Amino acid sequence: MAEIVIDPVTRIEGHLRIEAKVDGGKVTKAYSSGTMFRGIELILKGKDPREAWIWTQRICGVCTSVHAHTSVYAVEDALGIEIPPNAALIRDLIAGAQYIQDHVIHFYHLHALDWVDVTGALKADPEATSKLAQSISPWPKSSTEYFKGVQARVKKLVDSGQLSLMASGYWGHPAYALPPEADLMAVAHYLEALEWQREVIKIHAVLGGKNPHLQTYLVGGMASAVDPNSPNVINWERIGFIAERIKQMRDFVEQVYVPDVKAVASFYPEWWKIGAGHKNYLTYGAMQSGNRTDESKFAFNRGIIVGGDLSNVVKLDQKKITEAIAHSYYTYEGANQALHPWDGQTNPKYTGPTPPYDALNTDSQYSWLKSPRYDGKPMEVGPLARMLVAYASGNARVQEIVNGALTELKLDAGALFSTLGRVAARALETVYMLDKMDEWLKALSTNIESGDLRIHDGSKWDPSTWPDEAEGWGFHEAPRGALGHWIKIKNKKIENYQAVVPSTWNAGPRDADGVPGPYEASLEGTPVADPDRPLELLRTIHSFDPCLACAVHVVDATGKERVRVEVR
Amino acid sequence: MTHRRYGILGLGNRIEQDEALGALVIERFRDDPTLMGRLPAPDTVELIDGGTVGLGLMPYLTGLDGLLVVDVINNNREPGELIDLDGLDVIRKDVVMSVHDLGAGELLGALYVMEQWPRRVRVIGLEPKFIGLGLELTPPVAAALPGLIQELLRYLAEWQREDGAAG
Repeated sequence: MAEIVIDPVTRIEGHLRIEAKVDGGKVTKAYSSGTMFRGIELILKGKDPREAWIWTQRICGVCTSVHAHTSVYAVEDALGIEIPPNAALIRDLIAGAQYIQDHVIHFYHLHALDWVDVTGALKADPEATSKLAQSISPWPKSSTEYFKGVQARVKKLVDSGQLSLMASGYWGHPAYALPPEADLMAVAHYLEALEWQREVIKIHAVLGGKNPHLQTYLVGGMASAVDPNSPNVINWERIGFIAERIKQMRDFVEQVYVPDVKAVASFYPEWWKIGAGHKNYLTYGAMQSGNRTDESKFAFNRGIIVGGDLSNVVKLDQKKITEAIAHSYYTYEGANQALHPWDGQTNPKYTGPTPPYDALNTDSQYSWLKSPRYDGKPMEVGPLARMLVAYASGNARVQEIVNGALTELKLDAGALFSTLGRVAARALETVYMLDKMDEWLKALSTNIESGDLRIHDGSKWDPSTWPDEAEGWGFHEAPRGALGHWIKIKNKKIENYQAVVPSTWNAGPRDADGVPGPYEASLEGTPVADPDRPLELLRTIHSFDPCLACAVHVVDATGKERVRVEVR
Repeated sequence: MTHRRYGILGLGNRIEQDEALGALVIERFRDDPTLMGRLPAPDTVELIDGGTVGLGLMPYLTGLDGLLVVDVINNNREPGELIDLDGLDVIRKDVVMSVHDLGAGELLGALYVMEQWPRRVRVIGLEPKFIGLGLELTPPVAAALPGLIQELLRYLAEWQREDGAAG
């Protein structure tokens, strides 16, 4: 029996360690560990609730805005503040731009190299690549000359030893199945996506003041003024700028990203059957345009699917969410039973081995992540959960997009419970999100035209208007999945603050009953051709788009390996 | 010579003790006009608080004449020791840089593969003592901060002198 350790998993944000036991060429058991403590909750205690979002933005280095977004909603929920429609629309536009940029970056720069062999691109025939590209998309950059140029660029990078950010793939691995022409096409789009993401994320600079840490959030609304007749605020010129960027997003998503996902997937049919896990999915629903209660207005449906049963969407009650710590490096005062986040505690108590170590003690505590559960059950969150819940809830546009793709790929809906299902759902929800972006921008323009320039409700800004005690729940669907912030306010200060982030749902350890978390369950049964180079495990882990304790990074100049693979 | 552009990109997370280094350097410059005043042409220098973000920072770095990336650097030295690396060494495939894949090393790697490499790139920082929850730098890193800032000023002055002479 082989034991595989991947620590840290590459091409993800933050620190994740996977230990997998392999027997007969397949994973029999897997353990997922967050190896870093994230203690934002301790820093927030005693602070002014109105500035919580500034701190929570620092939870994550990449999705800074999603934590600001969720935090202001949590405080508004606690204090009973209704924000003006324009503020809600601007928050949604920021969130939508984040989705689209994030999903494209995830596919090309964090995940594609699990499927695409960069060195394969060097063997491709540029003319055949051009034919392939033109057969799947009208995207104009697809001539023989163009692919010749890309190939020369890649050759130069490989020859110079400066492959840099593409250096972490398992080049030449037998599990790579694309023909060289598809490799070259994907590498060309990898480079184009770098250029593209740079342009489109300028939406954040326009709406958020600056990027990466946006400055325009405000409890009660937004701090960005809206006025058609004024420079340096959100005016017609800026609306036009955003509309152009959305168009640019749509062109790339529809003509490059989605066709590439379908093309790559067509060479890996077995991956529609691998990596499902528990088939439990949870969404909070989101992009609620300011209203916190009317679920029918949410752009993404809210609900739960249990055991892959698409005929029944269970209604979500956030009070049924708990976090267990049976296998986590924490202690709770009193008994160590699972707690709802309002009563949640963050008392670190490391009981693991002293680093550097060979193996985690998986019988006792082995992760800095807690184990979130809904009604006692582990739940997968993220694009696949959102698409499945929307699909099963009768969301007509989502059904149209998903059914179209399934027909084209000759699959039934059950194939979505898989590693490739996650990859496909991410691409398809990007298409859905583009429609929403158009809708929100149009609604904002209509409001401005009709003279509604309200952007902030300051009626409860003054703490003297607050009750002595209040509690609130801010929810969001971040690109990586359901994100919740729970706050308790007492005597105008934060009494307790708990964030349950998407990767905690997905990457959390076993609970007190020994039931594995979603990563752990999804890895069981995964075939592993070469335990020294466990590419197949990375495919499934990366399909979740992991993001762990992602607010820490250190430049490592000692040249040490990032992936340590051990076979025992 | 006009239109020269230089950048100081500070990376780091403010809530993780020594990990905050890059962000704090940017804050020092912003809070202390005399520091900026010591540059021959302060208006040519952009201060970028990069937080922990990778690729999103590309637009700020394209076309620079010189880039100083400030970060904590693991190099098995004494805590607080100054470490100064050439940017091209940082992205060599046998020297893997950040612990996550879209960090400083990958940002620089992306600039390189996009053929938008600034004319000069130095990655400068200090060996950390401790990274973990907390708002203060550890004493050896805090003590070394002024020396690090001197080094940044020295590079900027040197580059401006070279470019001034060339222009």
